[in-house]
Amino acid sequence: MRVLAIDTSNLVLSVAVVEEERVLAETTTNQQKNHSVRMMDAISELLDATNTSPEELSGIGVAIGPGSYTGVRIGVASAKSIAWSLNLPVVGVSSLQAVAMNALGFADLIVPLFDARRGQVYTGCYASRGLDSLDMLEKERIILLQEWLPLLRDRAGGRSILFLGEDVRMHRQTIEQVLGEQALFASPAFNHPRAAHIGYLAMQRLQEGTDAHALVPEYLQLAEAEAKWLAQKQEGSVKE
Amino acid sequence: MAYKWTLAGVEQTQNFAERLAAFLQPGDLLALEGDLGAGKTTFTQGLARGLGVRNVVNSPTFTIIKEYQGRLPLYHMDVYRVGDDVDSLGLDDYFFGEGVCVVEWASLIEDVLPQERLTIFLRTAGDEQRLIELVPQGDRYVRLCEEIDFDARTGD
Repeated sequence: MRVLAIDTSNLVLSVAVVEEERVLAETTTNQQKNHSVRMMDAISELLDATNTSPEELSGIGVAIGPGSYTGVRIGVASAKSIAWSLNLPVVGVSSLQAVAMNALGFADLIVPLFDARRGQVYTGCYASRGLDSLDMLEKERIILLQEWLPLLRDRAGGRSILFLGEDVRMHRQTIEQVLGEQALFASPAFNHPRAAHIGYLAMQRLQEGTDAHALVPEYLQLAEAEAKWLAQKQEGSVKE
Repeated sequence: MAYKWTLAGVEQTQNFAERLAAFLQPGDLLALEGDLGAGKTTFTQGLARGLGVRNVVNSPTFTIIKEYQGRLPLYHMDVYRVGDDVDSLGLDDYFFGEGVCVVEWASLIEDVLPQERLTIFLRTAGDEQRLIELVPQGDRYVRLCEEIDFDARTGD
């Protein structure tokens, strides 16, 4: 079984072709954001390099965000189109979880984090279950970093918290101010998402694989209408 | 400190915008306010010229966002029609991006605009004349206004 995996949801462009026991090819760049120009070429090159004809694919895995809206849409729209045209299942994978996968096997808390501007971050909290999967301890969300850090401290008890992601650098000082030595920071090669991880996460869920038309991005931002509805619901003025 | 000018017509409006463009940096946000026909798109055309954009710039009313390549990328937005759907546009990608953002009818999306910005009010006065007023919010834009003001007073 071969799965094509794609992540264009942030600055990183990563594409991989994976089999059950082997990553056949993977390409990752972390500099230019012209994903719409480069993504199809990257896919084409990897399929050629691995002698994979499109018909040999068993499914598509794609990072569905959070991230840049444009980036998320490039990846998701392309994955849906490819899956639909080849009649394949497509599986959406969290862009945060993809980064968290880099720390598989880490004993304590794993916190992937992307900057979301205005003091906010996209983040979640995971723990490694053995060496091959992650449990979600705190669901993914957009939150003020200043609110997130105390929440993590409570969650962690005395355990360490490993922060992952390219944007961790810009928030490192704040994180250390609140968490001190409880906070750990990964070496650079652990901070960017790798499409191979997305391929394996997708493979695990290929059976339940979504119909191409049903896959939607996960921006992690509440639409204004949703936010208003929730606020009203909390005040008890809306019946479910 | 108020930054106000009276401009004689279309050409002067565009020339003013063209000169203003020379002072812009990546990440700058210009909010354009003015009634229909006040010259928002005209202004943006001059700005685009100043940024070295070669393509024809026209109103993004129907496309909502248009991108142009110049010395800096120019993101020209018209948010008049976005209504409640503003969150789905991912405007932060632009506001915190590498280019200059020009937002027409920006006051309609006050909630999602970054606090720091330069608001440009355009008003018609007489047949051809335009009154232009710059209102800076944040240090970056106060400095920008001072530079523009100095440039305008000292001429070429």
